[in-house]
Amino acid sequence: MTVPALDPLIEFIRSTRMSQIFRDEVGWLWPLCESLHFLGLSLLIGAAGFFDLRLLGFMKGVPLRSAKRFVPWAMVGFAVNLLTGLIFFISQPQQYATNLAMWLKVLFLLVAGINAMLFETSYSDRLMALAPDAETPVSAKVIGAVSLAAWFAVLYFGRMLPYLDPNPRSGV
Amino acid sequence: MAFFTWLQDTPFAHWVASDPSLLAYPTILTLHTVGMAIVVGTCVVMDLRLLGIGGDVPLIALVRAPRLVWTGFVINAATGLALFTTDAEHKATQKVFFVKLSLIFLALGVYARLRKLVFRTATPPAASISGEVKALAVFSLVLWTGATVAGRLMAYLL
Amino acid sequence: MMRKVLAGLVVASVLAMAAPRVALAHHAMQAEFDQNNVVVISGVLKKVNWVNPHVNFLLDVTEPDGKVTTWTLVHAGPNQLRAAGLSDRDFFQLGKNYTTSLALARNGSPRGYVFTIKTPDDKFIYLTFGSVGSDPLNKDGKGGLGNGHPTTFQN
Repeated sequence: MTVPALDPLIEFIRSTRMSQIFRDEVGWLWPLCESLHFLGLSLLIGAAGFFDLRLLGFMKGVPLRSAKRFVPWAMVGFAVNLLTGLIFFISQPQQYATNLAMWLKVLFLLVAGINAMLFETSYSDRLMALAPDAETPVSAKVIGAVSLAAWFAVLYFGRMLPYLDPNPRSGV
Repeated sequence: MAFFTWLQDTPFAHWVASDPSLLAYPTILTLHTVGMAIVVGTCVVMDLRLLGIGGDVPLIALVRAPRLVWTGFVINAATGLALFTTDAEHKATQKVFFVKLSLIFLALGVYARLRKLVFRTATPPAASISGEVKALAVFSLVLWTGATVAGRLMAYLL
Repeated sequence: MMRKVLAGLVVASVLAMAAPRVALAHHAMQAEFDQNNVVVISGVLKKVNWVNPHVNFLLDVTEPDGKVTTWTLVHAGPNQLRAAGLSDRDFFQLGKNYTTSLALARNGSPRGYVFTIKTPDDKFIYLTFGSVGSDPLNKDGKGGLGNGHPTTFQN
């Protein structure tokens, strides 16, 4: 996509010392961050996926409270990816700022985040009180399904970054 | 070597490598990432639980995990083969690629051993988490981390 | 020989958003290639691999002592080059002489990230960002796909 309104922002970010250091002075930074990004996503999808599967009704007999103990690990994975993602963005903003795949990735990040917040504020307490063998209610299944779908969508659009919206301006 | 050259020139390899459709290379590559997330994610969750740092989920929850690991593995074996054909000549002698494959097979071996030690019964007792199991869980984490990094470095090392 | 393909053929000329001195905007390239080490080589075009993840050109370069080394020149993937306007893979004439500027691979292998290509009929294809001065084949920093419109050959 071309979004001329973003050009000044892109130029500004690229002109910062931090951007320049990441880009030109730390040669191994990109492969390192990519590796961490892949590890982070595996941790995130594994841990969040586990809880989502429980919400969907799999692994009956496992108390939801226990299953939820994996969620902080998903947060660790997310934190690693947020940090490495910021490094990618700061070093090469033009590759992402006008990239449709990036916008869609962010959209699904928001979906996953809002879904998680909704769960936390409106459903969590109720669900934690459920007996381990009880069937999970529809609301839980929906939240679990949305979460799984959203995180896989984030993965999908992330991997499609170089391919979905190749843009000569972005150099991707 | 002639085999790999031939493989690279097959219509299938050409389709994967060069076809403008998003369903060719981009989708195959993305599915490879999906498979990785499933396999590594599942194993990491199991390892964390066995090490006692992933909470207290009853071990019975992990009894059917092999289905996920197997699904992810099949996805990645298939997409991996497809990706291999596009650059067979080079990948057939690429050191870091062989490191990756070795680490994957080692990690799967560790996984099989862990299943044997812990998940022999339908409701594994907590006592089945011995010192050996914990050591293997750590080793598993190291191996999967190594395999993931080796995979990424394939794009950078000759 | 003016081929009809010239009329439709567009030059891939990718312009960075940033200051012209930045040549390697492609994300992972700095890890493998040294943008401060740009050389010009000439040789016979042996093969064009129009493949993902990176299109590459094989150039047979004859050293002063007569030895022939095959150089591998890489760039972006086919989708990206297509988006930049270089859509005709058959444009490149095998067996003919090409001159290119490239950022050398850091590990010393005969490999580089190609910046500018001079064709056998003296046309220029600017494949990357106007790196004023640092690209011997593109001292004026030519290139012009900033607005997404493909450009024609530049002499």
